[in-house]
Amino acid sequence: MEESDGKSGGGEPPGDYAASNAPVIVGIGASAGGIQTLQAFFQALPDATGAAFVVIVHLDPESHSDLASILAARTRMPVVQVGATETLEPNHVYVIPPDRRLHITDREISAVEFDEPRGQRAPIDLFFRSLAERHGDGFAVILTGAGSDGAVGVRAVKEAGGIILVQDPGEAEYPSMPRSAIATGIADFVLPVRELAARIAELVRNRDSVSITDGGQFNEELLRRILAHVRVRTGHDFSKYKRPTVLRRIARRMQVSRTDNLEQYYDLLRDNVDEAQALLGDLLISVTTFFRDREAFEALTVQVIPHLFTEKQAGDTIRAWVPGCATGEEAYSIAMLLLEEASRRDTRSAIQVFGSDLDVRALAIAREGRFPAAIVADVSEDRLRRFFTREGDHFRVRRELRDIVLFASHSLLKDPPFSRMDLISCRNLLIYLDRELQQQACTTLHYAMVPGGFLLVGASETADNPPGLFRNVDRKARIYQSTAQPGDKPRLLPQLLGGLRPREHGFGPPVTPSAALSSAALHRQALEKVAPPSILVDHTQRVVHLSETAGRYLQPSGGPLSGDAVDLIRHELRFELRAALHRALDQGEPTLTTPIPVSFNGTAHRVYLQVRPTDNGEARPRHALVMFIEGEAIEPLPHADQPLERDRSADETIRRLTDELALSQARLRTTREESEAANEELRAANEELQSINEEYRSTSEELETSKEELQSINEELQTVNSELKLKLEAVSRAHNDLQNLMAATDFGTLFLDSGMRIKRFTERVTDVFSLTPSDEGRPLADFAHQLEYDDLLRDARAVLAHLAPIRREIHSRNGRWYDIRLRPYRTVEDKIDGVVITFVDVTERRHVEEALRESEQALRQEKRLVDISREPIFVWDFDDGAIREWNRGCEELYGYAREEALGKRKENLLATSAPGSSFATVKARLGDEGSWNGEFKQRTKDGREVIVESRLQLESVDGRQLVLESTRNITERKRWEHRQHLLLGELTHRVNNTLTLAQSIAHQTMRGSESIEDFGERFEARLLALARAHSVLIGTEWKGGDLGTLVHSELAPYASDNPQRFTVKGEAVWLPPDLVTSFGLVLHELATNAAKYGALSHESGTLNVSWQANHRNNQRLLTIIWREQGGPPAEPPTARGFGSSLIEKGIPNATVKREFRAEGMVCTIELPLPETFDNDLVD
Amino acid sequence: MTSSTKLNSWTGSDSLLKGARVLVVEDDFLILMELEAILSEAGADIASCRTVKDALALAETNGLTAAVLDIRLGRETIAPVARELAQRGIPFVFYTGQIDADAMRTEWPDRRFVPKPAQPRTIVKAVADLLHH
Repeated sequence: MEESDGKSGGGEPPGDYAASNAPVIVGIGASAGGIQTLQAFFQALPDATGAAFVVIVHLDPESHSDLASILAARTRMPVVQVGATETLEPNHVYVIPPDRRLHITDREISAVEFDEPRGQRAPIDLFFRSLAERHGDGFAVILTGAGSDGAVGVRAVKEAGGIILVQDPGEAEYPSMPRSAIATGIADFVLPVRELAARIAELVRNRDSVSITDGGQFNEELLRRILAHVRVRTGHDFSKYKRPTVLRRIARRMQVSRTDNLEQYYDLLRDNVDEAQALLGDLLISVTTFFRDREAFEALTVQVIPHLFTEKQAGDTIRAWVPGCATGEEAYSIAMLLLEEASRRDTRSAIQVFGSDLDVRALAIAREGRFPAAIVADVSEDRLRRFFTREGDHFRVRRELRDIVLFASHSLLKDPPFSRMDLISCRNLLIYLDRELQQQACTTLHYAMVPGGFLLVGASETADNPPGLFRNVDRKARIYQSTAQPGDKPRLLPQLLGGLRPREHGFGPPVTPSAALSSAALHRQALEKVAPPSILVDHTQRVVHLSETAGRYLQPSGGPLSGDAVDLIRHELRFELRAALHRALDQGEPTLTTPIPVSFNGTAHRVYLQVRPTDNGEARPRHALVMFIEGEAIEPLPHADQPLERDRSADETIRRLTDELALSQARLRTTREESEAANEELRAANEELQSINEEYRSTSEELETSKEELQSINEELQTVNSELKLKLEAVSRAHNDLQNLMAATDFGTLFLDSGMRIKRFTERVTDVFSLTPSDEGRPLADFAHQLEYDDLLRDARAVLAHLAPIRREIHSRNGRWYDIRLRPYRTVEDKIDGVVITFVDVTERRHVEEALRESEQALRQEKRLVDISREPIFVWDFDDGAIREWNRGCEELYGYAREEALGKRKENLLATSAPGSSFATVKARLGDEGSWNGEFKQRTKDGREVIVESRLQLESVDGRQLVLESTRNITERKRWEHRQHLLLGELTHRVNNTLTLAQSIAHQTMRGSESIEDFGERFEARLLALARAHSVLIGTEWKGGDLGTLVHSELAPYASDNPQRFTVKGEAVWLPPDLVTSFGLVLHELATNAAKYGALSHESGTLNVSWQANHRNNQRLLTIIWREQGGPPAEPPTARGFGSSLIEKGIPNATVKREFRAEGMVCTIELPLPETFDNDLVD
Repeated sequence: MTSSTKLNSWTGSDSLLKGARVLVVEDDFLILMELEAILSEAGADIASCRTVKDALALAETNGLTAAVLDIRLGRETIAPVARELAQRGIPFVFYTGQIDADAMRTEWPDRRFVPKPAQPRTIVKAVADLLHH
C-alpha cells in the first residue's frame, strides 16, 4: 500500500497540524437514509467551525447527483461537488461525485476512478484510509446506512489520531453501518445526529486549545506519572515507546475528554478508572488490513513461502507468528499464503500461524474471524471464495483457515516469546518503540526463530539493530533472514521488561579511579592545600566531594551514615550551614556567616562558613561549595563575678550581648524561613506520598485481583491439563485398539485420501494389491490388482461424490471371492476425508452357501419323499411329547390331518401303549439307548385300535431331543397270527379229544371183547364210524352236519342190492359238531346190532329211519325214530355192554327209548336242539 | 358190569382209591365212561356229570374227596366249578386236551393239569396224589 510513509515515515507523523494551516477535515460517511440525516446534520452545525467537511455517500454511478444543491439549502457554507481536484478550504463542504472515489492529500481533495468493480466498492472506507494517511487529527463520522462500509476506514482514522463519531443506531434509519462501526470498539462518541453536529463543532473549536506542551515547556515528570499510572492500571509500559506517538495519542484522549492540559488530564486519569483503559485502547490501536502492502506480500509469496515448504519434511509443521496482529488480518493473510502454497504443492505439512497482541478487544475480533464486506478491496475474489463465507454484510473466515490460526494475548516485550518460528511478520510495531526497546524486540524475534527463519518488518522499519542477528534478503520488501546456523549453541532468552518499576539511578555518578594524576589535578591539589577546607554539595545537599582538610569540620551524628552535608558537619555549624545551603541552592545567593564558636579539642575557635553556589550560568545551581574559614582561638570569658573586671568590661559586655542578640535574631529568622520551607516541602511530600499511597493501594488491589485470577487460571489450567492427559490416554488407547483391531480383523482395509492416494492399509490388502508399507501416499491407480473389478476407482470416486456406500461381491483372478465395501471416510468432525475400502474374503462363505443350497435341495427332496410316503413317519419331541412332523402316511393310518396332529402330545393323541410294557419304560429305554424297535398299540381318530411296529430313533437337533418314529401297521397280521394260534389250539384240542375218544373206545371195546380178533373187528368198525362222522364234519369245515347226510353215511356199509332195504326220511336238521360225532357212533351201534341180530340180518329185512323237529315249550325238539322190520323178532340184549350204554347215553341230553317188538326193534331218540348256534370256532 | 375176560385186567392198580368219592366232569360221553371205569376200578366211588350246571349241583353234595375236571364243556368252561370246589376245600386236577389253557393256568397255578390222552394209571395216580395231600 502506498500509505506507509504518511503514517509512520520515520515513525513520526506531523506533530502540530495547527501550524500547517491546513483545515481540520471532517469526513462524513452515509448511505441509505443519508439525505435526511445529512440535512439534519448540517442544519444543526454552526456555520463557522473552521473545519472542511467531506461528504461520502453511495451514489448511483449512472445518474447525476443533486446532493450538493440539497445540502447547500441547509448550510451557509459553500457546498462543492468535487471535480478533478479541489483545494481544501475551511468552512467548506465537499461532496462526492457519482462513480468516483475521493482521495485527499495535504491540501487538496480529488475525485478518482474506482479500481474495484461495481458492487465491491467501499468509497467511505477508501476515503477514510486516505484521510488517515495525511491528516492524523481528522474526524470520521458514520451516519445511517446499510452494509458495513466505513468500518475498516474508521480504524485507520483512529490509529492516525483521529476521532470517530457514530450516529446512534437507535436513531438511524438504517442502523447497519453505525453498528458495524461501533462493533470495531473504537468509536469515541455515539450520539444522535444533532448532538453529533454540536460535538464536532466543540471538538474542532477546542482542538487548538489542547496543548501538551505547557507553554512551550513540556512537563516530562507529568508524562512519566501518566504512563506510570497506565502501567499500574493496565500492566502495559509505554515509557519506552516513541514519545511523539504516545503524546499524539494522549493529545487525542485529551481532546475527547475535553481536558485542556496534561495536568488536568492526569487528574482525570486518576479520578476516572475507565480512562486508563481508554488511553490504553488508543495507545494500542493499530490499523491492519488483509495483504497490507501488496508488494511485500508478493515478495513473501515468491521468495519466502516456497522456501519454507522446501525445507520441511512431510509431517513437519510450518510455524509463523504475527506479533501485534491487532484484529488478525495479517495473520490470516499469511495463513492464506501458506495454505495456497500447500495446495499447490499438494503437501501434507501441517501449518500453524500464531497471532498475538496486547489488545484483548482486537483479539476477540480476530478470533471471531468476521470481517466487514469492505475487505473485498483487499482480498481477491479467488481468495474470498476459497477462504471466506458470506454472512450478510460480512465475510466469515472458513474453518479450514480459522483452524490453523491461533490468537493469544501476548506482549512481545514482556512475555517469553513463541519459539521455533519459520516466519515472523512483525510489521509496524518496531516504529512505536525507542531504540533500546527495538533492540530488545529484535533480539526476542531472533530468539523465537528457527535458524534461517524469515522476518518481515514494516516498510519503515529495519532489523539491523542490534547488528548481526539478521541478514537482509529483500531490502525493498523488508525481508530478513536469521543468521543463526542450525548447529549454533542455544541462545539465551533476551532480557525482557520485567517488573513495573523503572530502573533507579545509582547513588551518584560512578567514580573512576584514575591511574595517574594529571598536572591539572596536581594544581588542584596544591590549591586545595592552601585554600580553606571545603566541601562540594549537590542540589540535594549531598556531599559530593571533600577537600583534604575538610575532615576537621566533620562530625557525623550517630545513626546510619548519610551523605547529607548537614548531617556530616559539626553540630555547631549545622544550623548556619542548612540556612546557607538553602540560600545558595534555592536562591543562588552566596552566604558568609558570622563567626561561630566551635570547640576543637577543648579550645574554642571562631569559624566562618562561606557557601557559594557553583556558577554554571544555570537558573538553578546544581552544586554549592562550602568553605570553612577558621579564626583565632577565643579567650575563655572571665567570670562575671569578678569585681575587678565588672566596671572595666561593662561596655564590652553590653556590646557583646547586643552582637549576640543580633546574631540570635538572625538565626531565628533563618530558622523560621527554613521551617516554612520545610513545611512546604513536607506538604508537597505528603501529597506525593498520598498519591503514591493511592497508587500502591490500587496496585495492591490489582495484584490481589490478579492473584485470584492467576489462581483460578491455574486451576483451570490444571483441569485442562488433566483433561488433556486423559484425552491423550484415550487417544493412545484408541490407537492401540485401532492397531489391534486392524491386526485382528482378518480382512483388508484400505484408506484412501480424497485424491485416491493410499493413506493406510492392512496386511490383508496385499492379497489383492501388491503393496508395501512404503507405498503409502502413492495413488491407488498406480497399482494393478487381482480383482475382476475395473470400476474400483470409479466407484471410489462415486462414493466420494455422493457419500453413498457401495458394496459389491467381486471375483478375483486367483479364484477367490471378495465382498468389497466402499464407504466415505468421515472424520470425527464429520468431514469427508477420503474413502475406506474393505475387502472381505468370502470364498469359504460362497462354497458353504453352495453346499448349503445343494444340501437344502436334497433335504427338500427327502422331505418330499417322506411327505408322500405311505409309510407313517412322524417326529415328536422327546421332552414334552409334542408332535413336530406328520406325513401323509400318518394321516392315512391315524386319520388325523397334519394340522390336527402338530403340537399334540403323541401318547395322548394316539393313546399309545406298549404291550407287555409301558410307554414310560419304552421312553426311558429310548433315552438310554437312542433307539427302540417294537410294537405299540395305538388308537386312530375313529377309535380303531391298531397295532404298529415302530422304529424310534432319538436325534438331537438344536439342543432339542427329537424322536423320529416310523411305524408299520401290523394289526391285520396280528389278527391272523392270533387266529392261527387259536386254530392250532383247537386242532390240538380236537386231536387230543379224538385220541382220547379212540382210547376210550378201545378200552370200552376191550372190556366187551371175547378175543383179540373180536376186539379188532369191533374196534375197527367203531373207529370207522367215528371217521365217517368226522368226514361229514370235515365236509362242513367242522361247523356241524346235516342229520340226513350223517344217517346215509353211517348206513352205507350195510347197503345191499335191495333198494328198499333202507328208508330215510326227515327234514333238514343241522347238528352241532359234537352231536355229529355222538350221533355217528350211536347210529353205528344201532346199525351193527341190526346187522347182527335185527332186520338187517335177513335179506328181507328193512330199516326205516325218520325224524322231525317240533317246537315245544319254546324249544326245538328233535325226534328220531329207528324202525326195523322184516327181520327176526327183536329181543332185548342179554347183557348190557358198551354198545347199549353208548346207544342210551351217548347223545348228551337225549332221551333214548328202545322197544324190542316181534316185527323188529324200534328206537326213539328225543333231543332238544339248541335254538341257534354259531359255528364260530372262537367261542 | 365188567366182563371176566383177560383183557379187562389192565390197570393193575385196584383199590388205590378205595373209599374216595370222586367228582368227574366231562362232556364227552365216551371219555366220561372211560374215566368212570378207570376210577371205579381203582376203588373210587364216582359222581359224574357232563354240564357245568350238573357239576355245580354235585359239588354241593357232601362226601366229595377229589375231582377230575375237563376244562371245556361244549361251549362252557369249568371255571365256576373249579372255584366252587376250591372254596369247599375239595382238591382237583384238570384233565384237558387244550395245551394252552392260559386263563385257567393263570387262575390255578398250583393245580395239576393232566393232558389228554393219558394212561389210566396216570389219572389214578393224579387223583391219589390229591387224596394224600
